[in-house]
Amino acid sequence: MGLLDYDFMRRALLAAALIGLFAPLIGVFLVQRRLALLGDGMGHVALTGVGLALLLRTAPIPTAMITAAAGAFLIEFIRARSRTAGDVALALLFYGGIAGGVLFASLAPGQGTGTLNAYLFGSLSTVAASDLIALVILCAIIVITLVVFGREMFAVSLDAQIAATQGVAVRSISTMMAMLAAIVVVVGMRTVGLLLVSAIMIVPVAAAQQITRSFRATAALGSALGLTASVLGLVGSYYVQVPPGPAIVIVALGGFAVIAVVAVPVRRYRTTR
Amino acid sequence: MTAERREPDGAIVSTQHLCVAFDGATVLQDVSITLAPAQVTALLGPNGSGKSTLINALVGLQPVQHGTVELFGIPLGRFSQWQRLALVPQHLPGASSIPVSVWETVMSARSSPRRRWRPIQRSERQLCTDALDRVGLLHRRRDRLDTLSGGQQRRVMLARALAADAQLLILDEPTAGMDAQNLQVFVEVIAHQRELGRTVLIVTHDLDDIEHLIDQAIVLEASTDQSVVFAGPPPLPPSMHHVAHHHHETPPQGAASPVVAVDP
Repeated sequence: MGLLDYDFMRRALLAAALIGLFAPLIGVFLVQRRLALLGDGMGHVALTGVGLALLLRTAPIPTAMITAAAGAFLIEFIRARSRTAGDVALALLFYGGIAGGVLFASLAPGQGTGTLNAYLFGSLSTVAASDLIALVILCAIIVITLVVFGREMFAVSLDAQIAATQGVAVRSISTMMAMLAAIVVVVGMRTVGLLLVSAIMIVPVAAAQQITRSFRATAALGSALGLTASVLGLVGSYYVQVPPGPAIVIVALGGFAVIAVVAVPVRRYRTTR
Repeated sequence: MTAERREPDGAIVSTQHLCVAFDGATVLQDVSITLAPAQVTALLGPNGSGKSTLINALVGLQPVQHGTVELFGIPLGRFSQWQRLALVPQHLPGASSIPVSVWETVMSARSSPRRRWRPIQRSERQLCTDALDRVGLLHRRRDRLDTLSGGQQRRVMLARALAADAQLLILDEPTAGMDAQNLQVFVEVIAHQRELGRTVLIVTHDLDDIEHLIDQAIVLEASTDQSVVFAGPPPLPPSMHHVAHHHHETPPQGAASPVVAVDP
């Protein structure tokens, strides 16, 4: 029996494809703004949402989305307030996220650590049909936001001060970027897992920027690499019987290594051209 | 009722008794300046006299303690026609985490809430092409910005401001550390902007190459009751030459010989 004969596997593949495709498109902005670890923290905060959902028996994706969105607002608020103390404040927020998640999940009746593991490292069997609808809606929000606000987001990432003198609402655009990262975290929660979801935002972008010369090309190649890594990793995890999150991230890191090797002759060619 | 209105001949920029302080220290004291349409103004002064602070205050990047700033006759707090001005910052773009091409940098001048809902127009691409051509870097448009030399990157930032197609161009020390070839591009661009009837404000340490293009010079000095110690058409009074011509000062008698002694 082929793996596409299983309903759960088809859903998992689609969910993985979505996160692989869209996460690097947001990650490229995070890396440019030197906020590569922001997605990581957002995942930690979303974990509290998952814990709450288990405890209150609500749907995990909406609950995690609300928590992650609140986290995004809080993070941007802290970042706007202070640069040095902000660093510590963010750390506190992220620790709190993990602790809250594990605490609430442990208090939930009838839920073992296995349930939480599925959210931490992803799982092949947990993507429900109703989840898919939510994921498609969230991805549609990402696409529309990028189409409408992408140029302003790019201007802010390039130089926030100049962007402000062009009339760009820097604070609002920054918050919007944090919200998009929160959405990506929730989209990736089922397949990649909350602990590794930021990797799928960052690693494909880090791999792509070794050989690209423009922001747009980096985003496009990063997205292609993310898609490839997600699908290959997910299929691999099915055959090797490991959680999909680590498998996807290992494949993405492999892609990074391959491009690192390829990049040397490519750069040499460009400079001697 | 109209007696209250003070629009000094449709000034592009005007400040009244502007005071700026940060971290408790007063940086600008009682600054009242006017930039008339189609005038090129040089903003001069020693390091720490508040030139960049003044520029930042004019465009709303620096909070103002007292006094008023008006852009195009509109108080800064209510000003929203940001497409009418363009700023070339003092700092270079610096090494970027993500590759950004020269073209993307120039194109970013066209990002604005006003243009949010419509795709990039052909005329906007043409503006960017013309701007890059004018600074002589059109052939580098596909290259990574951070693979260009410092002087070339400054020219890209100048092209970026030109692509905004704005009436008011503000340049914060655009020629710092620039070689003669890059400097020549700047002088030509400012001359062209002047011909177009644009208003230009340029912060500089060196008037020598652009003095013939300057309509007004404003000299700032730190720790005085009034930060502006001179405002008017050049030439500067002899006592102030050091803020504008220091690169070409004749060395004082007895100074080190220009011939470098080499130890045997």
